[in-house]
Amino acid sequence: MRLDLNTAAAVAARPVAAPTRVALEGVSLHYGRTAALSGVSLAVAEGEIVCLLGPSGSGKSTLLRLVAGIERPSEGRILIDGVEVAGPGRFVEPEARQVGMVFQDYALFPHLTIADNVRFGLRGRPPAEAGRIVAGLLERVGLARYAGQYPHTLSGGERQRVALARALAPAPRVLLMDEPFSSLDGRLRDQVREETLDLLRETATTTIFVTHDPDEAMRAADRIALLHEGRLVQCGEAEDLYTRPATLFAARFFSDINELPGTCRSGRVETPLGAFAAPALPEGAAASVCLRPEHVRLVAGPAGIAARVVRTAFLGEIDHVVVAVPGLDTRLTVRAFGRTGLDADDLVYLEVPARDALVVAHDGR
Amino acid sequence: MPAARRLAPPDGWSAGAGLVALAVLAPLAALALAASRGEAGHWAHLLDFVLPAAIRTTAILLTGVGLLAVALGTTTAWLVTAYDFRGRRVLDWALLLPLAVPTYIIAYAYLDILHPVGPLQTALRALLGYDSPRDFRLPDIRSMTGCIVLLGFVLYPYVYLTTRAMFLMQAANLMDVARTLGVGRRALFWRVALPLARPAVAVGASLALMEALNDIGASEFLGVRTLTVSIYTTWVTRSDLAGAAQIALAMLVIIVGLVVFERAARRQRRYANDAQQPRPLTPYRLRGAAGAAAFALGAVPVAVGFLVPSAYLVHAAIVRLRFAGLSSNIVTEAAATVAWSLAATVVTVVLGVVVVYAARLNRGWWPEVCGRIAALGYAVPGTVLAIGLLPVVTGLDHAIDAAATRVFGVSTGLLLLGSGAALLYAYVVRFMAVASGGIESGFSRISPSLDDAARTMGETAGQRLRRIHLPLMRPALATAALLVFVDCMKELPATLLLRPIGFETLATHLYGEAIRGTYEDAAIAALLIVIVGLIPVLVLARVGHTRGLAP
Repeated sequence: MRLDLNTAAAVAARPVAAPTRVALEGVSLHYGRTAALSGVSLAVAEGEIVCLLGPSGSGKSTLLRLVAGIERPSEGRILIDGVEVAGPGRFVEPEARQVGMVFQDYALFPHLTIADNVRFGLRGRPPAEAGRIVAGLLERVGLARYAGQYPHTLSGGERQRVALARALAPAPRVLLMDEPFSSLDGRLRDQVREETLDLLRETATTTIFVTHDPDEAMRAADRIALLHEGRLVQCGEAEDLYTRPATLFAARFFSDINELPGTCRSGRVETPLGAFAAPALPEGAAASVCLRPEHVRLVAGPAGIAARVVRTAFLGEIDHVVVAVPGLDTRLTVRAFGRTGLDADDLVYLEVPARDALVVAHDGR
Repeated sequence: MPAARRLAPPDGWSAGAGLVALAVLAPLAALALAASRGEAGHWAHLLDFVLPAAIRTTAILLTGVGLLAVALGTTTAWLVTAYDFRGRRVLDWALLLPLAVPTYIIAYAYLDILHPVGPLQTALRALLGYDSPRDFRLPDIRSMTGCIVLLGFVLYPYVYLTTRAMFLMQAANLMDVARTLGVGRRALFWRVALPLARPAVAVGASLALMEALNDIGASEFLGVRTLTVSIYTTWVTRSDLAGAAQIALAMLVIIVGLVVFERAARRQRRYANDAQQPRPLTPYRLRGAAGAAAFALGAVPVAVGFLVPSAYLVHAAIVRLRFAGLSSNIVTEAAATVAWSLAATVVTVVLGVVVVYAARLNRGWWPEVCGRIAALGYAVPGTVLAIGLLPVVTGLDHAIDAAATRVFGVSTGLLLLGSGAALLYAYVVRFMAVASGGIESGFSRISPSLDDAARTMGETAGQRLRRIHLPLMRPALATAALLVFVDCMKELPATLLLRPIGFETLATHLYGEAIRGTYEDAAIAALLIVIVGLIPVLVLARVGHTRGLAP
């Protein structure tokens, strides 16, 4: 129920109310006794780019395969353009769903040329029209001169673009991408992602893609749906998830955090770094105060909390400083802009603005 | 002396591999030589009267068998990989069973089953109310069509085996992506699975065709005069070695074509595979009537190619045993078959180890080329090989005889031919590839760093083989030996031509009876061959099964 409200809130919060393209309603999938997905509800609007984010085994790829029709849900309904494609009494086969899919390994047909791969889904169209679509897409992704070659002669980035062109050729109602950039590395990955997003926005293609990389999700998606152990943890824009994580898992997923354990006493959680307000928590509840590294500041004067530097690392734009605070078992990671000039065993002072801290009860996932 | 050997250990092994390669090449070279010795007029006669018809017959037979084997092999492979139904797991390995039935045995069995007064036609007449074969009979099985159908139903498992493996390896992603692009479940076979499996189909089909080309019994019993039959009759009834060699040479051209085709397909198959990391296809569940229909469809080739002929053989063998008991002839022949097959197996496996080990010790081109040559024999039909071996062996026999006469003053006569050593030679050449293939895969699973470690501890090449490799690859050796043994037991064409006078194996016994038209102990001989032939099929089924289950 809570998840439904979450979704409804997220949909309502979107600035332009476009019609819903894909809707999942309480979707579950069980393999025997193990649940791959439990009660996931999610709505994706026309032209929206939504990312399914989560660690491996969270069910994100399974969710994508359910939308494609490669798997059948055990419970719940899936609608595309308001028409039920999977539900208790109805199942539309993948070939009739008009969805496009890009796999992690691209799944290009090794026995077909690049042009024939892209043309594959255009059977039934007049040859001239199909040829025009293929030529146009290959031109758009910059692979026109490879049209007659076979997939094994292409580089990873080029294969990804062929897979994208092939999926887009029949103008699918929704494009599904499973870890589409994860087989590429470094610079190439960023470049291919930017190009892909440009093309998707230009064609206003409704897209659901899967990744395990929060950075990628934040860069590419209009909205992020965070999954954990088969459940939807939180869904919203990147900033929502980063600044207002619903659970400890959500807080941990987006960056390294400093976790200070404590207990709630009269609406406050006491820690060696001070007391933090937790009005929503019951008396005596075990809780964690979460501080992202950039929220712990190094200050000049002895007004702050005294700490000892354990080690520092130069990371270019920022310095990464690990400090030990008296009375605290764990060490704190601090991110400081510019060179600090600190060395191990130096004495420093810390300041923690209370408004930046996230207090999360321990029963939260 | 040991110190010297330790300095240059690979040389002895490479030389051994070279000798094996030479032994394989010798009959092929002798074939060319023997063919060229024939008179020119002879060749013209062959060209005018024998070859065109035999080549046309062979071409029609190969085309028919190829088409039927591909049709049966690919559809059954798709049935058991893309669909799941009651009995699928049984069908999965049962479809391999016809491999246990040699071509000459299926022809032998159906000749009797489908005889105008045989069980099937009698039953049909009783059902339809006819009294005599004169009023109603099925088309004669002794025809080109009959031969194609029977060979197709026992040789399709070659296509089934390679194609099924390919379907199992094909990434399910490719099927899934095709479906999101609008391809229905049934159309997947034509649009994706089959085009992707093309190399595997080609490999399987060429193996089936090599087997069809090797066949002598079925085509002869069924009255189809192929090149193989022509070679045999030219030599046996007309004692015309040059003529037989010339036909054999013509046949070698077809074989070279098949081998090139197969090799090219294998290369392509490697290509197609490495791009994908396979998540296996999830089979689609068929329930109720659809499931039963699928099972029935898949059971047809098993019934025609294995169940019906084996049931017939069991029945005929029991009848014979009741009537005449176990004749001493059959026992002697069975013992001779086992003895010769065992001897050939030992020699083949030992030489196979030499060839493969030479390539492991010495990474140069020489041992590898020797290995390739040594494996060529699998493609050469038994008849062709035997015709090539005859001049080689008689030449050696004459040399031995001359030497013995000169040194000891004793004539040895035709020592190799008379003792059956020639037969052994033929078995070794023909089945070397079976052995070396298995041995090679055994060696490849042993890390080269074990060799290096043993070397640093002062072990010579021979000691390493004995103390490390052989113990580690005992299962691979056993499998290789088993496969060679069974192939030797079933071998017919080369045995017919090279056996010493008065020597009979189970296979030649059956051949003799079938040619004479006497139905006596042959069913027992055939049954024994099929039972032994089942062993490697079961091994194969187990291997295929575990591979299929692997995630």
